[in-house]
Amino acid sequence: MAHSQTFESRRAWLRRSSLAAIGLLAARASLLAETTSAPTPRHAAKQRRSLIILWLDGGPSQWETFDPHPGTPNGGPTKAIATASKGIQFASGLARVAEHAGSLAVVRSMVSKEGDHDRGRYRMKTGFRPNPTVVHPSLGAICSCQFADDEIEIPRFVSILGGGKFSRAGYLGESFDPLVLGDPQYPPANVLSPVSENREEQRLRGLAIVEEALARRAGRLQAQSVHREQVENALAFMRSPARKAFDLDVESARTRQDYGENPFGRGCLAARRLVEAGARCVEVELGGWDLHKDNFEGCAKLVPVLDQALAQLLFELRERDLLSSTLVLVAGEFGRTPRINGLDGRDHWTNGFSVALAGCGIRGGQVLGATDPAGVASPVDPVVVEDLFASMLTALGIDPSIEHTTSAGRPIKLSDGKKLAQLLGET
Amino acid sequence: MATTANRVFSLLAVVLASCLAIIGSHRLDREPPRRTPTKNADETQREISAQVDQALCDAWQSRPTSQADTLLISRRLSLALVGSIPSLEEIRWIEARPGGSALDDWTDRLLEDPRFNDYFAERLARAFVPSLPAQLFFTYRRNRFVSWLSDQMARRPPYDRMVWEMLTAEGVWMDKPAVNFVTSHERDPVLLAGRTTRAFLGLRLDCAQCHDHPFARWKQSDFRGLAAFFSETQLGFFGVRDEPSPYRVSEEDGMVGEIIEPVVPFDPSLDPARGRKRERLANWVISPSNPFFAKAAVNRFWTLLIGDPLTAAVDDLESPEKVPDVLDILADDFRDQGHDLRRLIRNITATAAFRAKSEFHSPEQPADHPPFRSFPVRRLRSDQLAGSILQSSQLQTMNGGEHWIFRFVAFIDRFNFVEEFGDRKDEELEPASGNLPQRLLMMNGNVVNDRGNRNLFSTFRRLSAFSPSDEKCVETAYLVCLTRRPDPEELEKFSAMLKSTAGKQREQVVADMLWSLVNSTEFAWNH
Repeated sequence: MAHSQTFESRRAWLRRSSLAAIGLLAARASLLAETTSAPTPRHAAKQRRSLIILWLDGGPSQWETFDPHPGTPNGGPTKAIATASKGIQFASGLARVAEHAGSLAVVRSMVSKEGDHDRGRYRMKTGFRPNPTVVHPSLGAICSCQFADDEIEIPRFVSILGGGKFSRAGYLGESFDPLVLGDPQYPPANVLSPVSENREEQRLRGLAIVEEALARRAGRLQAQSVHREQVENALAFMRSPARKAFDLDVESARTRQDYGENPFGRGCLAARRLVEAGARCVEVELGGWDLHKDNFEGCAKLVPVLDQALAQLLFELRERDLLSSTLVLVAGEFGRTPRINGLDGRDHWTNGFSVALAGCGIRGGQVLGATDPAGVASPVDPVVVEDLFASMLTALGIDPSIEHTTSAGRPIKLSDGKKLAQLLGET
Repeated sequence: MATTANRVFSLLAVVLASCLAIIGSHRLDREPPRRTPTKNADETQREISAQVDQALCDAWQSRPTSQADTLLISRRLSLALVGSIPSLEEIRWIEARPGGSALDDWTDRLLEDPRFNDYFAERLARAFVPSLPAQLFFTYRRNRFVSWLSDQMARRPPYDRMVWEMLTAEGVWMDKPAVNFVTSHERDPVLLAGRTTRAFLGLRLDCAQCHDHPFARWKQSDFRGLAAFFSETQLGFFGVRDEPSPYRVSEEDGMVGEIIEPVVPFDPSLDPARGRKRERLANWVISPSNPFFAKAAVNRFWTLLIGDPLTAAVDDLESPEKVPDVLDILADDFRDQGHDLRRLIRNITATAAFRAKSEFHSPEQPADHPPFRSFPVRRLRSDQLAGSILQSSQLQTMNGGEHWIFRFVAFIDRFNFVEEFGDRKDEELEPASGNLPQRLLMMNGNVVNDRGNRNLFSTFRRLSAFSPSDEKCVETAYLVCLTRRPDPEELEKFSAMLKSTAGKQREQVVADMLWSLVNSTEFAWNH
């Protein structure tokens, strides 16, 4: 099992690379021959599923978002509002998202043991605790790898605004790392050639001179064909019409405003466009949630940004019939303490925090688990990170028990968790 | 005002407490058992490389393939020992060596270069401690550990002494950096035992951590017995310190509370069975009669220098050996000659395997291609790539001797590039596949395209302005980027592009030529 999986991945990768080659130096005929003999992709287009992660970096307060407890000693000034789902309340800052509560499943009883930022990020992005002997792939990288058969000209995994530090592919190999973007109002870094077309031609002519010389000297060098394919893939992407997916100017001013004219709002709009263009995972980060001080002031700035962009994203995904095939996850590395500290802030909290999910078979309009407003009792129906990951993988159509073999020869499952039937609407 | 005074006092208190902790942590420094080399070091060196070559030829059942060009081997040496390609200045120095001694002289010069100590310290750190953040101050602790390793590389204690120090050190992490071997593993006996066997013995005992595997040599009891050696190790106000305490397994498998005695998994006669547990373990690990210690070091250095391990995996000496005897010859010499890392490097880099040409190599056809008959073609790591790009933007050697402003800018450039390109950290010795963002960074990124704009002394303006002829300009560009001269066809084609250009236009043609060279297969791979 383990071996066949890695072998399959590698073969798929090779096939994909050769398909994308457009022939900087190579003869086109042989490549065309390979195209026709390529087997049909494992996942037919109609089953194409994608993932959008809205990453709230720093540890968002569940109290001020999906799990308010107004009127309790720890509740602070945050009010709760009714949502479109009967009996479910969100914090009042999420008024627009509340209208989509029928699509959202909120898990209020997440438990993790990682209260340090980096360890928490690793935990919540890979589903595993940090381990010195292996680097696990992020959920996005898993999508990128398991859906490697796609023939798209844009990268399958894009990480917007976060720098992609804990989003890498670990033992799956760097070919599944994300393309990292900043604010989508600027073109992606390094995608446009910094010189004129004439000079780029000159550069590529020069490159061909050096490559031909190597071929004369060394014969058929495997490294050279790998290298050439990567240059060709890069050129194909640089010149591809699919690159338009990154260009938000195509969207109307109205649409951009609906998402919010801020980096995160633009990120969410870009996420929708990229998923439409075939990307399998897009991750958009909204940072600044580490509010040890002035939690309520901080949340008053951040929550409306999240509210507007998330509500609009859910609206558009539904409108374009993408919500049934797109999993949306809203999460951060942990939550925040019930107790309000002396600086009016909340500290790190791993024993009962919230994540929200929508789409792709997730049963909306429900809440899993509950927390104690006093922060004394452990949460009701606690959900461990492994089980959340097994559920998300299942929703995406990826078997969590698929094993990959690490470079150290150790077989590892994508997730050791058990899927949550309630989350997936199977009970 | 009051708060300032408070701050000063609390700062003083912290400083005082740290001093106390450091003073308190100093017990009598212990020494490992000393051994002296048995033979005169210089006489045997050539002999060893010759023996390795013989073993390789026996394995191949043929004579070695022809040796690669001297400059190409020099490039391999620079990439392996200091992490960048040679500068033009260095190439001229190599070419001025009297006949036959160029490669040995160049190896010696690199081994004396301060860059070598830092570069190998980082390589060793990646084998000895994790790169992922584990706990508070992790990065500082790791940095402290790396600079300690660098200092060790400069002071050249025998390798076994260095390992003994890491395994046994006590004290505060700032004062005794070697203790960060323990702190980086969260002082966890399981992690420490796993790392100790993988990094220092090339054994994967940690596979038996959870349960016995059928057919595997190592049992869970072996691993637990080994982990028990780290049970005394405490972390407190006086830093890492050993206080007698038993090891209890804390798995949820019914074994809770059982006391495990420290037992070595093989050759128990090498364990003195008295003294601090970690000292007992360290003595057993580095014992000259321990069959794995020297071999594990040889296999790791071979992999760092040549790109492929002598066994199937660098940290698994029990996996199949690719060529018989080579590991034994080098390990025996390493052990008998006082665990001298520089000597080991000289031995390996003088072999036919290191100096062979690179050849056609494909995973589909490995059978007709005996291992190490040609030099393995490997993608440059991000640090090597960054070092090489920055070096190729200068004609002089960037070895820390230049003005601090240049050094600072280079440091930032290198850091940013590695950050953006992606650092494979603990996985750096595994074959890399490369990805689209990396290629885009090489083609369109700042480090490659700004090269030049930054200052007047950068390569392309100098080449453009001061080359006596078009041909010389092309030749120098090739030497700077690819450490070789262009072949006649390359020379002709690039010279034609340069012909009758001048001023700004000529600068652009030269800059584009440098772009082509830096984006070529040859630049991006070690070959």
